[in-house]
Amino acid sequence: MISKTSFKADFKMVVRDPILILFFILPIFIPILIKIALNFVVPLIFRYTGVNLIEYYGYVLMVSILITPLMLGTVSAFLLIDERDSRIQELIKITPVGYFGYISNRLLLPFIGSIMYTILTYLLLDIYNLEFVQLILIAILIGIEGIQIAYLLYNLATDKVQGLTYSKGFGVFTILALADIFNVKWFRIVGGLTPFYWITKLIIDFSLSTVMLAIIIHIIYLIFIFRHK
Amino acid sequence: MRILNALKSDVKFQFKQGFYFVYIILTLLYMIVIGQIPNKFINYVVPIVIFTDPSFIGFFFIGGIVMLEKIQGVLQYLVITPLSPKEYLISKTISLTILAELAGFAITLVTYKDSFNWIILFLGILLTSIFYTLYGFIVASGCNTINQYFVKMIPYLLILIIPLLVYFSFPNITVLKAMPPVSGFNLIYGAFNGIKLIEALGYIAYMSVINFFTLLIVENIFIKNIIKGGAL
Repeated sequence: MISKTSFKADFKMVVRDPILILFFILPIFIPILIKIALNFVVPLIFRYTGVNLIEYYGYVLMVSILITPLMLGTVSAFLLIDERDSRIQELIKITPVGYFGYISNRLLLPFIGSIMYTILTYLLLDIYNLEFVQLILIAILIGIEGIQIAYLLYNLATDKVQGLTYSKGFGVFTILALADIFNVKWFRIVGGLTPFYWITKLIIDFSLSTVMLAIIIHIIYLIFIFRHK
Repeated sequence: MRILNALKSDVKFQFKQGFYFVYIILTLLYMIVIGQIPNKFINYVVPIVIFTDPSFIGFFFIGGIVMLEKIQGVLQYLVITPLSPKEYLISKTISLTILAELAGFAITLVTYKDSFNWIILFLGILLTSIFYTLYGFIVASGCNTINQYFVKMIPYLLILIIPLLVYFSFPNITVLKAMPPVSGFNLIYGAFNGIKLIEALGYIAYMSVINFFTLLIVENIFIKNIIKGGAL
């Protein structure tokens, strides 16, 4: 009950804060912009390089999907960092919501937002065919990645500047997700050790073993990130 | 001497915050990604990467640095130290430009095998980075949180990006060359693809003047907001 009230309060805070509203609306423009860009870029790349980007649409879908957890995770992490800096968290710790309730509510935002926008991005882009179960599983795992990014950034960064540094470094995740494209064996192995790589695998090569590995890797990272604090 | 000490402490701070570490990782990544691109396109890709990443470092980080120092009270103490606002701004700008130069040259050296003009590249990164860092100070003014800074970044970035995109489509529109991002890009691009000496000198002189006036504007904003107790 307390948690529900607290979540309602958090939701109200998001609705009242124009900055947060903007961040939770912005991801809708990403697939639209990518769709428009693809119309220009695909023939251009083909004309100059002979590479047909259509063959790589699975990877394009992955990059488009990953933008949302990266964006919402970063925004939520900075919200948490700001509240830590302004010592709001110390007050919340002594309320009935408690620290765990507070963190859970904050992390619900990137989780729900990422799930929602993964499905929306898939539908709006409409460049690659996924089965319903495949899409739902990918959406849930992307939601978990939203939590992982937010909590990892929040815990790694001792202040705003470090937060910015790490968020810049988190761009690496997108490249790791595409590790299969690159003809570098060690890089593919490194990519395979991260959850982001397995979303690409789920898109390109949906099989029982891929599903199992993707779920296991996501759970391991989730446990590791929350225990690491 | 004062400014040298400030510069030393800024570089130390950035090192401790992991700026240099992140760019070592990013350089490695660029090496892998650019390594996949056919050789005939490298001289287009490398200048674009240098212009959009290392030269942009200052713009990305300065908001966080200013906001952190504001929370820590550093900016308020600045009034009672001998360090002038101009020296403070120069120190921050130069320290981030040192990082931009190191990252820019590291990426170039690991990805570009042909010869390039070192001096033009150095000046291109220098002048572009100074401009973007000072521009970042303007964006950071009035922001209280990083999320606010991110949102404010969008229109300010569009002001810089749109002329550049128009220039890529219509390179014959001469007036676009007077836009600082276009001038900066042409210098960096020229370091890899050749540029006439007179044209390079023109861009260098023009960017230097623009940077000087931007510094004066930023100094005014800074004094107004900090010394007079506004909301930087």
